[in-house]
Amino acid sequence: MAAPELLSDEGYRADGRRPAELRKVRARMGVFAQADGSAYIEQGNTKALAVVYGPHEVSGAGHRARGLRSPPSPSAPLRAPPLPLGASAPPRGLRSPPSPSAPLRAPPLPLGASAPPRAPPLPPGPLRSPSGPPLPPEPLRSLHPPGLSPFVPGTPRPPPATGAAEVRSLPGGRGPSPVPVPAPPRVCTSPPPGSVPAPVCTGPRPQMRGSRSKALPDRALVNCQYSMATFSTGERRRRPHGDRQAGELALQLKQTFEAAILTRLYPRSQIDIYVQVLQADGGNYCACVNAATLAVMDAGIPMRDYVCASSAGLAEDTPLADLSSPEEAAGGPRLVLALLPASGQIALLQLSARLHQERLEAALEAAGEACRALHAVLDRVVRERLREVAALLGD
Amino acid sequence: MPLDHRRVRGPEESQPPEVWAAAGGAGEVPEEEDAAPRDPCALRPLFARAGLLSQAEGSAYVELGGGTKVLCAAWGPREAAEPGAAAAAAGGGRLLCEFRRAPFAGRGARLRPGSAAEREAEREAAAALREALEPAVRLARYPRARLAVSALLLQDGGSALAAAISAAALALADAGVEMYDLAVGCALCRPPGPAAAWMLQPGEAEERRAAARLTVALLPALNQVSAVLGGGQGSPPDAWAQALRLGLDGCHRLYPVLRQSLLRAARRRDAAAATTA
Amino acid sequence: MASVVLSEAEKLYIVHGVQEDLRIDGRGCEDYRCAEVETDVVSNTSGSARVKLGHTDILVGVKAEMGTPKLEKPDEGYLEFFVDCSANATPEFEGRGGEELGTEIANTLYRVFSSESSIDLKSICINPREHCWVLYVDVLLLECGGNLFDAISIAVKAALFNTRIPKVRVLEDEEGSKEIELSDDPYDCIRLNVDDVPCIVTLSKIGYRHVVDATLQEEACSLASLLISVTSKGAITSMKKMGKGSLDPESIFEMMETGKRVGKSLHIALQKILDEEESLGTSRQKVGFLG
Repeated sequence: MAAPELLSDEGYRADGRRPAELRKVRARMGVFAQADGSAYIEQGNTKALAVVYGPHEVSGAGHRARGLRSPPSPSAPLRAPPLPLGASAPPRGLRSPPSPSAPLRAPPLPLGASAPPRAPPLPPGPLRSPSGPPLPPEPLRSLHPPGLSPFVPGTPRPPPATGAAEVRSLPGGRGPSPVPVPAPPRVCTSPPPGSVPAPVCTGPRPQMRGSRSKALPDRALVNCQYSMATFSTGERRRRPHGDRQAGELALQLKQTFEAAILTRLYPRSQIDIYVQVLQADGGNYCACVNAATLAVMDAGIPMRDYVCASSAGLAEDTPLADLSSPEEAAGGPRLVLALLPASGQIALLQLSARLHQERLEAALEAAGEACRALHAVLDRVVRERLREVAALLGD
Repeated sequence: MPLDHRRVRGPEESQPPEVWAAAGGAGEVPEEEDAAPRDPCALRPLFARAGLLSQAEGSAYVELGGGTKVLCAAWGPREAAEPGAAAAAAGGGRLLCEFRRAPFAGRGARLRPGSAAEREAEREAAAALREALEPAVRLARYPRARLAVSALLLQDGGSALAAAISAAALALADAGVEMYDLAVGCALCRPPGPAAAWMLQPGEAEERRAAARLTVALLPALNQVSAVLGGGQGSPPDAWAQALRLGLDGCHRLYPVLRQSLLRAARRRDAAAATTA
Repeated sequence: MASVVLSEAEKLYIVHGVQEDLRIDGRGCEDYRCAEVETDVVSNTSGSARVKLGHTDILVGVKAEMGTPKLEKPDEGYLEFFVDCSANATPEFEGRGGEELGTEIANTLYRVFSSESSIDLKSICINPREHCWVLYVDVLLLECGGNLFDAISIAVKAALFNTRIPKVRVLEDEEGSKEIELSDDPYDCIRLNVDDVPCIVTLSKIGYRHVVDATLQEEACSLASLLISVTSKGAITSMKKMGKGSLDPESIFEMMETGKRVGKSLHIALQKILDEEESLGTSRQKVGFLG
């Protein structure tokens, strides 16, 4: 558990911070000219970039580009079937016909078809078969909103994958209602690696292969990709994205921003948020959320509020804000909180490792405090940027 | 990648025993092969035949003296699979190229058949093939359509990509695709050593040891270069320009052979049509 | 690749301008855009560099990791290239969309570095047949505004220049088992000699002339381009024709000459910046993406 060396006798942390102190935050908006919105943030040694494209048509760039991309790989008829590509080839064929009409695109089938080969080791494997044994769905179902149940077994749609995916996006509904309905905090205890995946992961493995759900008739689709540069971590990563963790984080990012962006203003359109960790030193996800907030603002997309994210941990009884990478590695409890500071709503709350319930309050308070402090910093960055832009426009 | 559990999977990488033999102090075995220095401008004998597959719309087979054998098939205009993509192609059709090595193509186990590295190499060769052929084909005449070429390397005896380019151009022409010209490919390499000269159409052993390699493709009637692809150490300052000249000259000399084979194929087809009529 | 759609009139305007040696942004045919180069931007790499050439933005990180030498070359280390076309550059690259371009660029980089003299690989071998340094050169494409290949090669050279590989000693005990000891002093490291590292010069044929460092708009007007990698001494290490058009043999020779000339001055300018940055040492203020 929380190692004592996290906090020295004098009450300082390994990097010289006080328990509630944040690392130095530096940020800049409008880093790139071609993107609709972009931002860069440094939190201590963690550096992240976020880029926003959109709102644009759902069948827009991403989809058409894929159509363009796929063909150069030799045409399907010429290719021998047993290649691993075979698994993804059929969806292409299926995906293409829907042509420009938005609502038709990304039929659920191809996704299901491409999902299974990538996910053999997942426990919910038996769940995937449409006529799966009735036994396992029960514990799963209880964890989800009732809306899920029709999708699970016995639906004509073969992939429960998509079914669950839609459910994933549904909770977004809690956010978009303009009346401040207190968002149900999603406390998901994701256990330490190696044990059974937490409920968060029971759904399909998020595949960031573009927008797979149809264009939503009443709100914008938020599409996220989380990637880490191969050189960002101490040990070189083999690929920047596409692994389990990146997919999960992208899904969380999507949920976070669906709660914050006024998606109802842009029905049938899509907003792409791409985050990239350039240097990882703890709190990667938080830095990405903060950068993405700035990028969304830079793109001029209306949001309910800033989304500020910060992590918190515990050293014995003292809550620590904004964990650095060694502190994360120490194995203590870690709380990740994404907060809409003005309304005090929680967009995402995640706790890893065990924590006594009485201490949760303290950790949550520390994380909340850190988020509010970050809010002040981000707000300053935004205002400064606005002044700059206004000055430029004024001339 | 689907695992084949019924077989013992060999190691991911394998090496020819020569690597170890050479390290053990044994004499350089391949040295004797080129005991007689060959004329750098000499072309290897080339055999080309068009229209030999009945299922494909167009086909060609090219064999080089050193043992390189390439079989190519082409399919004429088909409706593009992706309507969106076809519209994006600004009216012109698209040329899809494929390049595959037969599992038995290489002599040494250079790349494990089916390995990721081999697929990568094949994809790169396919892209090179497409770049070499695109300028020769009148793609603007096939809006919203796709043309497909598939090259199968049966045996790699050096200069494989160049042979594939020639064969693919023949196959396209044999399929009746409108073209500006045939694309003729020619490979060169320069053996290591400061004074070594570029050689046309290297064999497999020469190619492996080469310090620099170059593949060029020419549309001889138009005198347009459709592909240049090469790398390595071309030590004298204007070595690459020389190599290019030599290679283009080689392409010009190969052109009549390819044309002949095309004419012969057309004649054969006419004769066949006459007998059935 | 990200591309722009131009009308015929716009294309004509660009082509006519190039004919007069005056490009839309005021450059001549052999001028590069203003490039920003900064090294040592990512601290947990062995070497890194960021290059911004017009709107093209490239970040390169070099990581040195211990590996085993390749069997064909037991006394040499090796380089591994990986290019990540991130979705930051364009939404087309989302998911696996950028992979194709990424491998194309990586293959080109392998070919560019295929010349044995480009980098002294023997110096990064620790002990033959057993241990060597593997330099993972990871290119991250953040924004593409034309002339990707040149910008990437500049960034790769800058990152290799910036690379510091820790010195190691091989200790051998009586039983012949070897132990590798890493030097404690972080300043005790190997630097790579990048004098012979080539840079790519892409020459795009527009109309009857060719231009270097084409913008996206100019790339849209060009049917074929020739990619040449040139060392600082003007030696060519690789050539490749790109695009769907073809080139006249004579113009290829001209382009090669131009490439050599431009490449030489590019190397000189780059080396000057790198040396300047080096001389500032730790006093240099890091700008990164905040500038």
